[in-house]
Amino acid sequence: MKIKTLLKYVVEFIMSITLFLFISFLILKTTVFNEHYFISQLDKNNYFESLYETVNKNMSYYIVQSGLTKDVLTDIYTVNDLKKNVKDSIGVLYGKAKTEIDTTAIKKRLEDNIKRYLESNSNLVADDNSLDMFVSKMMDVYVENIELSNTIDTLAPKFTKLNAVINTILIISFILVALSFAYLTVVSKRGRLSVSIMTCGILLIVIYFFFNKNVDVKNIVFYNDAVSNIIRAIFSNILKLFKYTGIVVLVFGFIFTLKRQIRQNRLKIVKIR
Amino acid sequence: MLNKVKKIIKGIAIEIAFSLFFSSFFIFSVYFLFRDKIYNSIFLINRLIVVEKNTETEDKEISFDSVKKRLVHYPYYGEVWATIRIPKVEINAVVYHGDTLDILDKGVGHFSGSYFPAEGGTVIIDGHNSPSQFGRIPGLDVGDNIIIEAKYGTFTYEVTEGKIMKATELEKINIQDDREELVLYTCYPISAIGYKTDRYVIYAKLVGEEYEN
Repeated sequence: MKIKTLLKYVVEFIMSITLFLFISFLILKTTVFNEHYFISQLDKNNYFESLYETVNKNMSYYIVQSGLTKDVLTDIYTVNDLKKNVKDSIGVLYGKAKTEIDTTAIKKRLEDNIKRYLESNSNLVADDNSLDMFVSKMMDVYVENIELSNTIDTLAPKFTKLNAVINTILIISFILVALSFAYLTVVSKRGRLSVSIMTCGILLIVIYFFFNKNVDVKNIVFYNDAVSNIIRAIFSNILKLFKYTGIVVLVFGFIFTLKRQIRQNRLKIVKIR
Repeated sequence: MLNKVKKIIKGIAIEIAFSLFFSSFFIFSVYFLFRDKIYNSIFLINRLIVVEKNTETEDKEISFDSVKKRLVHYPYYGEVWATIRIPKVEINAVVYHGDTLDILDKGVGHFSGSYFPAEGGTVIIDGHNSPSQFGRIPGLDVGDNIIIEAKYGTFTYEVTEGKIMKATELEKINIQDDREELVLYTCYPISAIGYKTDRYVIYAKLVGEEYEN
C-alpha cells in the first residue's frame, strides 16, 4: 500500500473522530452549558411552579411540629420571587458572581403572618426564641431548595472548568476538521469526505443507543420532583439531539457518497468514449 | 448502463464498509481503553435513580424467617408495614418504612437504618407531635405497653424509660444488634409554638411476640 493511500485513510479516520467530537461537544455547548437554553428549559418544564409547590410542601412539614397553622405561610413569596432567585443562583454555573439570596422581605411577611395568627389566638403562648428559630428554619428551607442544599455552589467550579475544557476541545477539533478537510480536498484529491461524515453519523447514533440502554433516564430522581423533572427533560433532549443529528449527518454522508460515485462513474464513461 | 449502476453500488458499499470499519475501530478502542471509566460514570448517573419501589420485593409479601431472625422480603421505602397501638395514651397509627418529612406527613415512620421487630436489634420509629401521631407519648410511664401489629406478627413492648434529649443528640441512640429494643421519639415540648429543638424519647423492651402463620 502506498504511503499516500495509507495517509489518506489515517486523515479520513482523524476527520471522522474530530468531526464526531466537534458535533458532540457542540451539542453539549448549546444545551447544558448554555445559560439561555437552561433557563428556557426551566420555563418550558414549569420548573418554577413545581419548585414553588415543593418549597411550600417542605415548609409545611415543619408546621405540624411548630404548633402553627399552614395559614402563616400564605403569600410569603411568589413564583416570581423564586424565579429571580433561581436565575441568580444558576448564574454561578455560567461564570457569574455569586449573589446571596435576599430573604428579608419573605421573612418580614412570615413574621407578620405569625404575629397576626398569635393575635387572633390569644390562648397560645409563644416563646420568641422558638419563633425566631422557626422563621429562620423556613428561610433555610427556601434557600436550600433554590440552591439545592449547596449543590449549585459545589458544582460551579467543576462546571466552569468543564466549560473551559469543552471550549478548548471545540477549537482544537474544529482546527483538525478544517486541516483534514483541506488535506482530503486539496492535497489528496481522491479523499473521501463522505466516509468521515458517515462514520461521524454512525458514532452519534451509537452514543444515543448506548446511553439510552444504560441509563434509566425516566427514573432519575435527584433532590426533589422539580429538579428530577428538569434533569430528565434535559438528558432526554440531549439524547434526542444526538439521535437526530446522527441521522441527519448519516443521510448527508450517504447523499455525498452517492453524488461522488455518480460523478466519478460519469467521468470514466466520458473518458472511455 | 447496468455496469455503471453496478460500479456506483460497489463504490457506495466500499465507502459504507469503510465508515463501519472506522466507527467500529473507534468504539472498540474507546471500549478497551476507557471501559472502567465509562462504566463507573454510568454507575454514578444511575445512582441518581432512587428506587422508591424496590422492584425485587414490591409484589412479594413481607414475611419472617424465624431461624435467621430476618425478614424474608423487606417493605419498600414508603410502604405501610405495621400499625402501632399504645392503649394507655390512645395512639393508633400506621407505620411507614422510612422517616422522611414526606412520609411523616402521612403517618409515623420507621427509621430505615434500624431493625424490624423480632430481628433482635433496635427498632426506631418517629412521628410528629400531633395527637394523631406521637403527641401523647410523654404521658407514658414505665411498664406501659406498646403493641406493633406488623404484617408478619404482633409484638408487645414494655416501656422502660422516657426522657428528653436535644435533637442534635439523637445520633447518640445506639442501634443495638444484640438485644431487641424499641425507641419512639417526637418533637418536644409538645405544646410550644415555633421550631422545637428537643425530642421526647421512649425506650421499650420486647415482652411478647406472636407470628402470623
